[in-house]
Amino acid sequence: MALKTKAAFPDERVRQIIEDETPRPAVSLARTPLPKKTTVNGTTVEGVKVIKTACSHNCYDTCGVLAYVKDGRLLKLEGDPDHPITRGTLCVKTYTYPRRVHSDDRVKYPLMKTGKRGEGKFKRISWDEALDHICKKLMRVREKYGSEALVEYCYSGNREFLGKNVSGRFLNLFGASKLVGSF
Amino acid sequence: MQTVEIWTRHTECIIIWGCNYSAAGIHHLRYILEAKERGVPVVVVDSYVTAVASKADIHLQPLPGTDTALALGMINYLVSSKLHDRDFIERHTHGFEELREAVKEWTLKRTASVTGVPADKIARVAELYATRHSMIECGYGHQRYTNGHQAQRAVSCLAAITGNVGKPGAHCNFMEVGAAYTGFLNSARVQSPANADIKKTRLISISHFGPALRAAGNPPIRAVISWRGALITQQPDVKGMLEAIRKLDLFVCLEQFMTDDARWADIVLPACTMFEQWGIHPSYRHQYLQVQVPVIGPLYESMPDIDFWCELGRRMGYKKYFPKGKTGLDWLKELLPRDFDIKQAMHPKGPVRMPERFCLPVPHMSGRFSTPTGKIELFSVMYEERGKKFPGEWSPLPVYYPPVESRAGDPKRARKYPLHLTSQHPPYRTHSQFYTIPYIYEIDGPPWVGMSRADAEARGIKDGDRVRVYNDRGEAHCTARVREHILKGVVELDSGYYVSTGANANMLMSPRAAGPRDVGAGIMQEYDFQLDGHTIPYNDCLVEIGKAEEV
Repeated sequence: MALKTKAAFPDERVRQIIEDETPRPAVSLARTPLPKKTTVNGTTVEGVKVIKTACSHNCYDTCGVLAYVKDGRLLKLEGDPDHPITRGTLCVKTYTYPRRVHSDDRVKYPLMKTGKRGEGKFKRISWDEALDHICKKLMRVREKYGSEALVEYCYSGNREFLGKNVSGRFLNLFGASKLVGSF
Repeated sequence: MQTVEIWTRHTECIIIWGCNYSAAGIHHLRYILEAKERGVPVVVVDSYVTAVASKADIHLQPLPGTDTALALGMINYLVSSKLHDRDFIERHTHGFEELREAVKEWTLKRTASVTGVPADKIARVAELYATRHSMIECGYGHQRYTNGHQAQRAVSCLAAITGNVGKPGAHCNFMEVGAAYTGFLNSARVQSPANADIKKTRLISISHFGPALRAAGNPPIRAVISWRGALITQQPDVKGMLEAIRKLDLFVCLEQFMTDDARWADIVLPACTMFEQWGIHPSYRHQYLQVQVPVIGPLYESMPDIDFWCELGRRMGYKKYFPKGKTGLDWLKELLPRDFDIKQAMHPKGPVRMPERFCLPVPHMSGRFSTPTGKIELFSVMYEERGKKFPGEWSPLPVYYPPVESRAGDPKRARKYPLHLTSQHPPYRTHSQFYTIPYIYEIDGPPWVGMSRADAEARGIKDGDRVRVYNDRGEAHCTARVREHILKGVVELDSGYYVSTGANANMLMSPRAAGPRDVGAGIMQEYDFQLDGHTIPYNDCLVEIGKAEEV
């Protein structure tokens, strides 16, 4: 077993390695032309739009994704071959994602409970009614107990960061208790 | 974090510690296998036989929660065999003499008896690691115990005393959070607009959410908005959580599916998936960025998350701060550095590498560290100082004690509930997500619990039997998978089954938080993400298993 040499990595060599193995920061890596057609379940589909995006699921790979879209429908997902780390492949979860997006089991409209909490009985309401209800309750809670009686519960279901920052603005303005930490 | 495409090409030995790339982060597996093809030995430390462990040259399978002991045993063996890097220790570390003294008790014999890993195997891995340019890649496996913070410290000290830090292919990655928290995202600008009247409020620890809900008195917590999470499914002590939820004045849930949280909510709001809204997610494990664009419009009556918060803000009287017509892209520009050209990272361009000032490809190559001593603190002055301010377990030297709820940590409880339950991430779901997709369910199947043949036989359980996993907190009903590869005394129940399936592991778990700082019920005024730590010790749990009663 060879003993390692302690001075194997002088700074210049490390810099050279970084230069050789990583592209310049902040420069687009798009190289491969986006396709215009695809095959879904054996049938060729023309006129698809392929859009580059990323997966924000909670495994941290943050895969480069090509989304195949036609007539407002997500037909399928593929890995972006130009992503230097995820190199054109996705996991089985993300490959099934179009079935999730267009699943009939999705919550389709705002619901209000009609029975006791946890009973699972709901009626359909409008967004206006839902927001009105929430606002009224929040004002009452703030009046009676103070603003810190509200807290959000938010974690990694969608791990992207924009949403949390916008909710953070609202919660800060309201004066809600602040959720911190990880688990 | 040293970036994967560099370290895997320059390393001479890999230890993957408590990390299952075959379930989460699968793209790293390809890099590991490429290194393996180059002839690099791969060691996996994991109580489970994961698919990654099955590809390892050596698999160390310690008893749950004994990782600290394993690392300390390796340190002692290396120091007493003079295989430590004296030059690196002298220049870059603080407290070596104290550490050397403290680990003396960890002879190979004792380490083997505590961890269950054969002594010669421990010695072999330690030698292999210390005599090469070696990488340790950590996951959260060993961190999710009540002694998890010390486990991580011990593993880091192992890297430091062998000089395997800050060189290409020789570092200790521990899943630090990356560019998302190094200033690349200007959260303050978005969350605290300059001219607004924003008061400091109390803080609630997410790893102690249930206890905080119950304990908060001044004021009590009366309203919770749950989104992008699953507090009933994913937090320990489900019964306690439901008891707290029953008392709320308002429980709102923004969701895509009827999850446990949605079922318990007063108002359920239809949420968009990540393909229907804007987003940005700097990875924790690599340094490339692609802006998430909405590829289709919101389906049904669903609303992008930020639109909900903006609309709520306008209706609650903060119109000024949530201008109508401000798009997701506008918000993103506010969140990103002003000199960052977002167009380069957005369809049809991108991805791009993030600016180096937020994520160095090879951190610590300079040998400078942001600690009080400017060195790697084998004896942690930071812990010592923090310990003067807050209660907790702040031993400045890494120390092993058994997890609070384990056979060694609570022998009395173990007499009644002798099996150590560990709860790992399922490969076909993201925690509780995807279970509703028939395609996934076909692969993932009904909830199951894995157990060793010896434990199964002792209970008259056969592979495929319906069983009841239980303790004094609750129970989970599932199918037994009797397997040769599972350690005796250990059972595996994946995380993330909805409570409504009857197989949720959190029904069995106690509402305790792990990490050095003791935060009581989880309500704080001050919190340091890096120092105070915090996770939920999902792997601190004792149970018993019996055959389900015949119907």
